[in-house]
Order: sequence, then C-alpha cells, then structure tokens
Amino acid sequence: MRVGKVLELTKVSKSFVLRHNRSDSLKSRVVGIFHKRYREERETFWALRDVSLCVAAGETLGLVGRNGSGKTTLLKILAGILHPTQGHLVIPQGVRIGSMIELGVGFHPELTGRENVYLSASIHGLQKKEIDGIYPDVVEFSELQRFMDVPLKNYSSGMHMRLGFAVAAHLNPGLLLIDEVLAVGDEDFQGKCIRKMEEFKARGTTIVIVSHSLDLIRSLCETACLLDNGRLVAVGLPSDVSGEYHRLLYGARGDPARIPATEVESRGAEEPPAGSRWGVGGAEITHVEFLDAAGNPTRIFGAGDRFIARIFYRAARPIRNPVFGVAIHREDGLWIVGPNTKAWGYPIDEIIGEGTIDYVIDSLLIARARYFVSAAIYDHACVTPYDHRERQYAFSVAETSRVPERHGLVHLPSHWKLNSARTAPHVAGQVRSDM
Amino acid sequence: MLSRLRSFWRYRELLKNLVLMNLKLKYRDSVFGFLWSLANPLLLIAVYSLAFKYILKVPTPNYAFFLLIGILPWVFFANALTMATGCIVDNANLIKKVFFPRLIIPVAAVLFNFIQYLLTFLVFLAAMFLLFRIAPTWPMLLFGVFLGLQTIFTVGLGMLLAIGTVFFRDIRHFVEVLLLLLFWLTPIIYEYPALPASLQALVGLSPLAPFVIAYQQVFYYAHIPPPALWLQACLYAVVAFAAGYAVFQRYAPRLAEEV
Repeated sequence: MRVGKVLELTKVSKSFVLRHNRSDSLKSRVVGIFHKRYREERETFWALRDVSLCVAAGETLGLVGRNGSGKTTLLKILAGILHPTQGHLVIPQGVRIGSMIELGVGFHPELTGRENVYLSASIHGLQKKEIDGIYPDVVEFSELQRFMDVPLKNYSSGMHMRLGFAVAAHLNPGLLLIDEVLAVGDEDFQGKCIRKMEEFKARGTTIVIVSHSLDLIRSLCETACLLDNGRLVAVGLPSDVSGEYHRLLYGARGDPARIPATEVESRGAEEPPAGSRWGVGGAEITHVEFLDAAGNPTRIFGAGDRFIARIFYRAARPIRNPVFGVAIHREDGLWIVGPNTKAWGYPIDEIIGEGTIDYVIDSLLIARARYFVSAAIYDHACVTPYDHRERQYAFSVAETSRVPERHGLVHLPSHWKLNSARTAPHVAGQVRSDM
Repeated sequence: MLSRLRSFWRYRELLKNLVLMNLKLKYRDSVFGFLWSLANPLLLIAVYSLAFKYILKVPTPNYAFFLLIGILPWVFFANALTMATGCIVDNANLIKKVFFPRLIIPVAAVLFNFIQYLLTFLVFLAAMFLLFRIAPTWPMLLFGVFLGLQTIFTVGLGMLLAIGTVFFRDIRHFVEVLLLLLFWLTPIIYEYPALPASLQALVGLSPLAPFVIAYQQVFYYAHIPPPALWLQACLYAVVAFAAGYAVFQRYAPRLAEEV
C-alpha cells in the first residue's frame, strides 16, 4: 500500500448507452430487423468525462454538483460497482471500501434485525468473526436492542434506516463512500450520523462524500470537487468550490465566501438572480419590492433595519383561502427563514384582481451578506402552487454599528453580564446591545 | 483469475449467508418445513408409477425405485437452473448499490438447491435401504463424483443463463419450456438401454443424461459406469463451467448498468 494516496483517477470517463424504445426481449429484436419503428435507438451519453483526481490518505473529499452532473456515477466507479469506459483508477490492494450509496442494501423484510445485520455486513465483505465483533456496537448505535429478533417488515422506516446506517457505520473501511445518505432521518439521528463521520475522520478514514448540503461539505471536508455535465470544473477549498457552485446555479459573480462590504452594497442593486419558477396558474406573483422603514424601495439594508417585502399579485379568478409564503436564503444556499401566512395564523379569505401583501421584519438581525428571496402563493393545504418564484429576488445586508455580530449568521438580542464572587458588585459590568 | 478467486474467497461469508437466508426464508413459519420439498418428487413418482407401471405396464422391475433415482437429481437440476437464470435480474438492487464478486449470486442459487437436494438424498437413502431393501454396493460410492460433476455443470449453465437473461429477458421463459422438454429427453422415467439405437443417440446427448444414467448405473444396476460415461460427464461439466465462467466474467463489470 502506497503511503499518502488512497485513490487516484486518471482521465476517467464513463459512457452509458441510452436505449430509447428499449427491447430486452428476443421478439422485439427480431421484429426490429424488419420494422424500423420497433428498432431500438441507441444514444451514447457521457456521464463522466476525463476526470482526474487524487485523494490523500485521511482526506475528506466532498463532491458537489447539480442533479445529473455525474456525482453518483463517480462514486459508483470508486466503489467498483461501475467500471470506467476510459481511463483508469488505482486503489491500493487491501483498502477496504465501505459504500453508503444506499442504506440497508440487501435487507430482507422477512428476516429479523439480527439476521439482516449479518447479511448486510457480509454483503460488504465482512467475515463471521468480524461481524460478531461489531454486532454489539451496531445494536447500541441503532438503539434497537428490543427489536433485534423482530422481522424487519415490522420496523418503521425510521428504524429500518437507523439499522442500515448502524451497519454501514461499523464496517470500519479504509475508504468510505457516502452518497447523500446523511440527509435522511430526523435531526437527532442526523446529528448522530455527523458525529460518526467526525469519528471516522479522527480515525484517519479517507472519505468521499456526495452532498447537496454545502454546509455539510464545508464543515466536514478539506477539499471539494465540483462536477458539471460529467466534467470536473473546480477542485479546491470547500468555501471556494461552493462559490463556484453557486455561480453555476445562479449565474452570480464574485466569491460569496468573502465579499467586501462595498461590493455587497454595489452588487445589492444588481439584477436579481435567475431563479426558477413553477405553478399551476390562476394567481401569479407579478413582482416583489423591498421597502425600508420610510417606505422607499431599496435593495440594500443595514443590519437591524426594518425590512418590508411587498409582494404584488394578480388573481385572474377568485382564489379562496390562499397562502402566501416567503423564503430567504443566503447567497450560498443556507436557508434563513421560510414564513407563510398559514403558519403565522394570518388567514386570507379570498383574493381577486391585483393587490399586494407585505411581509414585515421589524428588525433585520442577520449578518452582512447577499440574500435571495423566494415568494409563492399556494392553495390552502400548501400543496398546490399557484405561482412559486424561487430565489428570483435579491437584497443585501450591510454592516451597521447597531449590530456587533460579525462572525455568525444572525444577531440575537442579547447582553453580557460578568458574575464573580470576588468582584465588588459595582465593578460588574453590563454591556447591552438591544435594538 | 487468481485475484478473482481471492476476492471470491473473501466474500465466502456472503455466499454462506445468501444460501442460509434462502433456506430460512423457505422453511420459516411452515409447519412441515423441509417435508414440502419432498412433496413434488413424491407426487411425480406416484403419478408416473401409476401411469407407467399399472396402466402402460412398463416391464422395469422395482419401477418406483428406478424413478426415484432419476427424479431427485432432475428436480435439483431444474430448480437450480431456473433460480440461477433469474438470479442477476432478481438481485438488481443489490448489484446496483454495492460491490461484491457477482459470481457469488449464481453460485449461491445453485448451492441453495444443492443443499435442498442433499436433504432429499438422505430420504432417498433411507427409502432405498429400508423401503426397497436394496443392499449397499461398492459402485454406489461413485455417486458423489457424478453429483459433483453435475453441480459444476449446473453452475456453468447457470452463469451463462444468468448473464443471458440480463440482456434477453425472454431466456427465463425459454428455460422454463426447455426444461419441460428436457425432462422427457432425459432417461428418467424410461431405461436408457431399452431405447432403440436411433433414440439412444439423441437421449444420450441431452444435458443431464450422462449424470442420470450414471446414477442409475450405480444404484439400480450396481455397475461401475463405463469410461465413455465418465468422459461425457467430465466433458459436459468442464465445457459448461469454462464457457459460463468466461462469459460471466466478461460481462460482470457491465451488470450494474444493464440490469
């Protein structure tokens, strides 16, 4: 085993043959010889193109990219499930590869939890003795002690997943491949999964992780790779690469990780990003305006300012009980708030014709950055969108002296108070910062 | 080749678990359990005994015993081949999501049926000695050799058909029909030496013929099988296995994207 490198990809490409009118049966193949209509059409699709990559031992690499950019294909090639069409891949002999491409692979509903643990672990190449060794830890991690002799069909989907992750997390691989599986489960379980990842890192396991959560990539990975249309377009620090990724997604310019205040302000007035829009129609959002405390339209707010998002709508027909919603995302995709009129207990009887609705934030206590706003009108059940405009509006927040928060995401009204037995009461200072 | 064998060996626990799991699933919660796998051959023997012995008056003495010798290995062959043919397609999810030597799957399918067959073989032995009062003879020891060859032969065909089914799903149905035909082309319910010479050539070449004839030789006629039969059985096993293995390994890397 070479020290330093765990895996190396050289100009790896992968093509799939897309079969339109796919025929697996002999009959359609035979008929296809005579009738063009039944002949399958083949089209070559390159899922990966010339990807060269080197991962050092103990490194955590994050793969980001849009849907269909080739992330999972790359992961499957690393796992040995798919073979590259061109190029080659070197993984030193003896490195055990653990893949979490799907949780609970090979689980059988009729088998008990215990039997499934043994089966699933053996699918990943463990021997009986090794499985005996990890079994108690798997059970403890999954917290399913009482259910190990119950058939899996009686498990809830959450329990099923917990068991799947518990098995995957105890395979003790030298190279761990993870595909978006951390995104599942309740928050408590997600937290547990992340802690497990940190544990793997601490132990020196090399990890390749695919995720849409840039926060996760930034917190876990030393390096990130951006894939687009099967090509590796950026490799580098996660913060830089996530900037590239957003440029790709929203067509925005500049590095969102470090924006000088002046640039934020000047860019705040820019055209809104090219977000997406969908809905069934009937009512539409024509326009969204941002107003300051004085009621003047603006795109730049100071931290702590009053903020009004005025949504202009037009209803072609009477819409009963509509629900208006707004979402604010930071430029890098972090979701800040997502209020709607239903959750806020602000029922609207009916809308018809043109009108506006205001979403008012009394004090905009969020840190300096650029933010994207989505606005939507949904039906009463919040299921059917009449019109949903996703991140089509933008505003910026600039630093102000009223908000001392520099490092985090939000400013919470708070103060400091020193308590010490040896300090005279009159010395104990209070520094207040309230708006 | 060597590294493939090594990785196959590394995954032996999986092979064991797949076979055990299938056995468990088959007999769990059933009151009569394993006895059910005897039901099918016993029914066949009852029907054929009635039809051939008492209606068509076949002259073969001890006909039920003769039938038993051929039918049990045939059921093993037919079940194993049917299961192996669909095994890759049926385990598509496993193949798409995790890496392991793909060869494990068809081998596990044949092995699962092999173990079931061994259980029925114990019943066969008991019936032979206690019910049919056959005295043990030395040639019977050769049975194991031919059973081993039949298993290798079945694994070979299984690998070939498993891969074929991934690309042509019709093969499954084709195998079903073919097995029905082959049953009559294999000397199971009739004696091979009693056939006219023209038919002997045809029947003698059918896939399971050398094995079944050998079983009848050792158990029914208490003979050592002639050298030609040894040669044929070995040839069938080696050719089927070599072809199956070559085709399987050639297409194994593509399975995840084709199933």
